[in-house]
Amino acid sequence: VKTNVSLRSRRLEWPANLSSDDLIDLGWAPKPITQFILKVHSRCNLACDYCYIYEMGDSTWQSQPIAMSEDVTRQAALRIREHAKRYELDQVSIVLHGGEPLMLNAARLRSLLDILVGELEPDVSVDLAMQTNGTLLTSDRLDILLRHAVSIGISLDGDETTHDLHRKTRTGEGSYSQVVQGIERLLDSEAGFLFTGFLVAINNASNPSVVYESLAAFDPPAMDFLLPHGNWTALPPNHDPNKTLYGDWLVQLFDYWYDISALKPRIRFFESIMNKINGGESLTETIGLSESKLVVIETNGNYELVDVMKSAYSGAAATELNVFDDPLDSVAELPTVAVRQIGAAGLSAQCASCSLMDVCGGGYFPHRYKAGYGFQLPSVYCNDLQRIIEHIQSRIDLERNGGSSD
Amino acid sequence: MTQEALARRIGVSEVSLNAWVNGRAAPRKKALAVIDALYDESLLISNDGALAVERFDGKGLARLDSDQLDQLLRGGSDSKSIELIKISQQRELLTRLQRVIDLCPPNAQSAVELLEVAKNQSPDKWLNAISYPHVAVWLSACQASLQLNGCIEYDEIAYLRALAVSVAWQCEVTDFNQRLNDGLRKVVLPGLGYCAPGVLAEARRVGVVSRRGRLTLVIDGKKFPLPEHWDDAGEYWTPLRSINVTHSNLTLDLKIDDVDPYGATNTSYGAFSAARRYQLPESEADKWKDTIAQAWLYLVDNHFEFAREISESLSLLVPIYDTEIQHSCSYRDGFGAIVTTPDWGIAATAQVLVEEVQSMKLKALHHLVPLHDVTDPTPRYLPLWTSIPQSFEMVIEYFYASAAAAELWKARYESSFGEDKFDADLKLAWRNAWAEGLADQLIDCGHLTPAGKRMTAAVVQRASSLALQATPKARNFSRRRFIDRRICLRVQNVDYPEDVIERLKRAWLGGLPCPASVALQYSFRADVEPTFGWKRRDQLARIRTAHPKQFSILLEDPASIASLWPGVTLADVHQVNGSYDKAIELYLDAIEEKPDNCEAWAGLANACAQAGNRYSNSLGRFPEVVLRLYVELKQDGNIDVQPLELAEWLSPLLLQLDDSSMKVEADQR
Repeated sequence: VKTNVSLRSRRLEWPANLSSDDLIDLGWAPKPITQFILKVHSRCNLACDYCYIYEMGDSTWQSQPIAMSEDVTRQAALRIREHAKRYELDQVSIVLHGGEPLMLNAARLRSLLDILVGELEPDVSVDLAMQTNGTLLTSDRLDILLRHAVSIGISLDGDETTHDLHRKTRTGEGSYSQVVQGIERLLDSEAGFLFTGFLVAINNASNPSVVYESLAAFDPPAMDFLLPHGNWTALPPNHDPNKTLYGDWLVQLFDYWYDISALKPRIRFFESIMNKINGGESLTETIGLSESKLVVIETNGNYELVDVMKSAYSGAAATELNVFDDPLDSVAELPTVAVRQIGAAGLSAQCASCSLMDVCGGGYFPHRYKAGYGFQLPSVYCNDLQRIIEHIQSRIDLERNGGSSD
Repeated sequence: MTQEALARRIGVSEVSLNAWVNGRAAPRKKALAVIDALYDESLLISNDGALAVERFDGKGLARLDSDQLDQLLRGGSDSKSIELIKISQQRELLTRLQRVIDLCPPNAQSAVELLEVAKNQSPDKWLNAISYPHVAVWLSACQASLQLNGCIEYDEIAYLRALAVSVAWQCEVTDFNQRLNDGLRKVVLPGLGYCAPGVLAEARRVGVVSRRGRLTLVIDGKKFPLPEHWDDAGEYWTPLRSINVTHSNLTLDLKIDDVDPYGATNTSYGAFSAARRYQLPESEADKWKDTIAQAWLYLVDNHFEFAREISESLSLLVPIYDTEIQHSCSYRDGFGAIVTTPDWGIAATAQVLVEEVQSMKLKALHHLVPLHDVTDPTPRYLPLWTSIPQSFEMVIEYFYASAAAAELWKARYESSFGEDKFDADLKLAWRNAWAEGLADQLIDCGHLTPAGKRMTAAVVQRASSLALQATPKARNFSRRRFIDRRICLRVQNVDYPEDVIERLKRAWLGGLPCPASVALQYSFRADVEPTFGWKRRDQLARIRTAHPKQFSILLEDPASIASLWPGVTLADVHQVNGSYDKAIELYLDAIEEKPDNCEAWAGLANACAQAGNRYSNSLGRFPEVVLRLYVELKQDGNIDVQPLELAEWLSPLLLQLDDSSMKVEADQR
């Protein structure tokens, strides 16, 4: 199986134009991949208008098989085991993704999980997880997910109005009520402890406290807020490079969240910034200079780069490599993967000289893209990131000095 | 027993009994209690006094002949009787477990099913796992919840879920999932250990999954793999620590449980309220191990029979916080577990093991043979050794254990020197006093069943056959100590209704004789431990006995008392020295100065009691009446009233009262 999209058909931009020697000169050395995102179904039952797979630059989904076959699943598992053995990994993380992974019916979901676990364990321990829109969390699927201890993250954008603005069904109606039903089924079931939290796409026109409270009502362990996908060529929605519309929204959310003294959901985006300010580690690849250690395996078995690269241009995530022909090492050696493992050496000159570089890390990799320049630019959210980081820094300083936010 | 007789015993009609049998109606709580008692009674099945218990697994009856039963009632045992106790405990536990399972709410069904899977998979391991002592304690909590609220509570269900995981793991059930209840800071798997990743503090939803026998804790979707075997420590897993020591082919195999939530000691399950140690540091656990190991050697070498009994019956040690004195207890339901403060030396630890195993055995005996009327659990008996009213069950438990305890003290007396020897002698005296003081009263109180009377006679026979008499010096010392303590207790804790005192006051002021017909019904504040007087005098008496020169300094130089013995008065010193007249004179001065000086009143009453003067029967036994009347009169401006004069005036009333009963009068109100 080979991808139809060839990198060679496109003029090589940074970092695809780097050779192995260039990478080694930049301090790169081979590192293991520990997280595998399996696109087990390439279609979705929703039609969110901001979706980077179906609604943005990439059109490769049209050529993908609808679901991952047993052969591809088995071969992917063998490649993962091979990779784990080489790097002596005790445990790997596999995330079921889509499209919508629960478009698989219960029988196929069971079969897929049985194959993955059967091929990998006991040699390699598998931490299974899933990112779903939540609408198809039916009791039979929940039983299977529980049986394999698949952690479940759900995409929910906030209150009903905010959520339904973008996350619509194929008939154009809001999906909120369907998602809520799914969440309630999950939380009421024996599998409730597998719920990891919400993935939230930020809408800067919404009220942050309303969004927060509507999510907190489900008592999630965590909320992962994502800046909408976009880059210097395809700007994010409601974005003005000269203003900090997203930064301001994040500041409001941070203050609201930070001032809650009771047990509250974790927000990894904020915690990462706080950790970095305090000299710790980032918890997410959207902040800091965390090494990228993940690869995507498409339904046809192709290896791809981090999924949201597709928001840059059609085929941006493609690699020409696949599970049948290529070991995972060959993905790890790709320049687009390697430059995300070399820290500040992979940043633009502007980022490298920025005082916030250690905390920000240049922002999320796909957000740095500009046609003709590749990915060696500051994030399209540079001003927003600066706004939120400096605000968090000031809050921390204030607290250290014994002041209050008021 | 015929159906008619059974209905009569339960106190219902035959029609009602038939309705229960046919499932048309269910018995009420009161009838259920009678049925339970009958069930217990039915275990004693033989006319010749032999005992038989049906094994839960259908392997026939475990029998004890009459001699073995007598041995058990006397305080001894053999392997067969310990086995019979264990079988009866398991039988009881399984009955109660089934009752709880039958009433479990739907949200606990997965745990119930998991227990069932484990039972089918490996019945022997299941029985062993479910026999963990705290399971029975948890069942008691479930039973209490059912009685109080009509349902099993959140915490009890949480325990059931954790128990199911623990049992399944031990039974090698390979694949299962179990949601655990929210809000936990530590996931405790009963009998195995605990897992406590840092994120648990903020956990919303916690569960456990097992795949191919490998257990993984899942906290809000995050996985924390545990070791393949529960005995192995892991990054997130801490197994219960074990003590395993063998000496002369006799093994003690104990677990230290410092995490199980049902290891909590409170008045429902233990003998006293005490904060338990939560998660002992490694160094303290090692210290425990070391002391228990040494105590084991001591026991095996010196008291082999006790050691054998402990080896066969004890499986769990629950540490509690250190206090000024050593505390220990066993659970009413949790056979195999004892609770104790840290060690106070090898011999003391050995003593704790022996005494608590005796108590544990007596508690288990209640399940085998009804020893007394169990329908009255009110703590209202005041035995010599305590100022806190005890239930009858506790009283006979102390009584049962006292012979064994005295035996150990006797051995310690014979092998000790100096002050240790005196202490052992004293303790032996106390134990003898308990046994002597209790035996007749136990029999007289009317609560004992025929088996209970047999037990009492057997214990007395054993104590006397062992010739466990303390020296006269220790006996005298302990008698004085008991008197002083009781006086302090009464002065501080006993109260009378206003109208009684008012009537006495009017009679006194009217120059009338004391009205002997006044009903002196008083109340007793059972929750207050006497905090003054007797302990200091007790310490002084020890000094006088062991270090006479040091004591004489106090007499020769009264000014030194305050610096050497803060809180002690010269009157105390004279009293301990036996100069009762001088002591009384000084106490009276103190009372004159401050009429409600409880310390002085207790000292005065004690000095009178010790002196055996004419006030000893009134003031010595009912000091609180004299005190209360005196204070009232003084407050009303009667400056001439004298304590001893008042005590004499009250004599006709007080002498007719009988305070010899152990019974605390609180319940007479």
